[in-house]
Amino acid sequence: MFKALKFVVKEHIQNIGRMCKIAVDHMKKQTSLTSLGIWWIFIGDIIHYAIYFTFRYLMTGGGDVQGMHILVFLSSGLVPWFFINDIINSGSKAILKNKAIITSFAFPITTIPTIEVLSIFIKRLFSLVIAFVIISIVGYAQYFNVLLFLYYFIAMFIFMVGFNLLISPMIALSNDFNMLYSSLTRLFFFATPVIWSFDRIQHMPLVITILKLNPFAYIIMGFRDAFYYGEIPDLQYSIYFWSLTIVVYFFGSYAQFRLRKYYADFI
Amino acid sequence: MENAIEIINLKKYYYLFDKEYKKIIWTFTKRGSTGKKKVLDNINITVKKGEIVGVIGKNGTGKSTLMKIVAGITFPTGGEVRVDGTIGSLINLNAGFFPDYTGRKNIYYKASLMGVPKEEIDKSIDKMEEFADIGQYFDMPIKMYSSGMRARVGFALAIFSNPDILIIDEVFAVGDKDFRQKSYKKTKEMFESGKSILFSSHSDDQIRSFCDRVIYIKGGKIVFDGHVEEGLKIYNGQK
Repeated sequence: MFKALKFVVKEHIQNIGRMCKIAVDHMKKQTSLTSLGIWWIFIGDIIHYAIYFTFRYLMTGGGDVQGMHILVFLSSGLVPWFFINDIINSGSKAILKNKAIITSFAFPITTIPTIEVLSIFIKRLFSLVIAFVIISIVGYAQYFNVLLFLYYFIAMFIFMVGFNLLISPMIALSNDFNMLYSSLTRLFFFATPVIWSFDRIQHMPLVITILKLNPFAYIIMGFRDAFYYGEIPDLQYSIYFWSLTIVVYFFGSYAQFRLRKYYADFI
Repeated sequence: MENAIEIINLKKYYYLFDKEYKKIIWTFTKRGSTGKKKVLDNINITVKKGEIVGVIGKNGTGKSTLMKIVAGITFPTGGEVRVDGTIGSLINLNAGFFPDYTGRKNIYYKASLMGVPKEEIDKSIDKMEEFADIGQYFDMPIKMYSSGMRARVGFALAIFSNPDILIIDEVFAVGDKDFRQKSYKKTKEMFESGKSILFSSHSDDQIRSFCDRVIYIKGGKIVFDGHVEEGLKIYNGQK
């Protein structure tokens, strides 16, 4: 397993320039078909925010949530969620989307899932701007903690790269897995406190513990700290998160290392 | 290394699975495969520097798989491939093209997929444009091109990136007459320029005019390796 991890890391480092260039090309590909191009990312996100805010408001009123202004509460959850969700839904199809590259080029195949993650991250950086605008307007800019934000942002990136290394080959190999996976992804949205918070279920500590096993919960709650609460990461929870990340990397790089010789045959 | 290509005891099997999900189990436990299909067996080939070797055989006998393995696109199950020099592959000229990008942009994009540095492309982009000979279309989306135009652009990139070794897999079967004439001429230049070439074709004439020697592959095995006329006779005799 160590051999696989070393190989994958080496291949990534050796090709980092190429990966970034291709990631930018792939990002441009998605937006080049429309005349508004990259602005659709902005517009799409604004519509998204508006929908979530409206329905949250209709369901529970516009009051503060866990002490935070509702717009900041939603933004701090949605910002990381947009990254995570894009990768869960479309980044995970990395191998399938790049079939042509795998079957016709001598290419460092283990880097393909990461290229998709990079591409999504670059695209989504624009949406951070919207969140920053919102928190400035409602006067929450003073609470924004840059260090915490950077920590959780980097943690999110590192975890999602590992996640994609593991999940994208599984999806490419098996339609059964694909079906199972698609049904579970919706669960993630509701289980993760993106538009709700754990304070509603304070009386069910066991449920909270189970829900916290979801690594995305660590990230979302962390972003809330970065945007408002300012609490430093809980040690125990952080150890859990990073251990899980390491496990994901071991299995993900093993899968990539093993399958890289066979993708061209299997798909 | 004095040879351009050395293929030693090459084997290629495809693993078979009766249920799809077993591939996932196999990934992590190496178990779950129901068998292997032999595609190439005991292949030993040496291509000297500057030599042009033809590869003939019916479709489905492993020719393309062999070419892809030497080009580094897929991997052997056993055995070894040693290569001395940069490799250019003319295997699937249309691969890696993005329909909405222009011909020019596609060349840069495909070059980054091939690992060719941008500076190399900058040096030769004008020659590629000249070779492709598609006028103003070069800066229009590639989805507007005919198949011949597309093939010319793909060919231009592969040729002008100036590799030491060329792997050519029946590339002259695609494209229109214009493409075939143009690329034929250019390939002839390349064939005479001292590059080492592995060339697979269904056309006896092409094999005769270009190759120093021919290899006949049948059922994943080498059945003949030697003189062009003799090889072609055996191949045609068996058709």
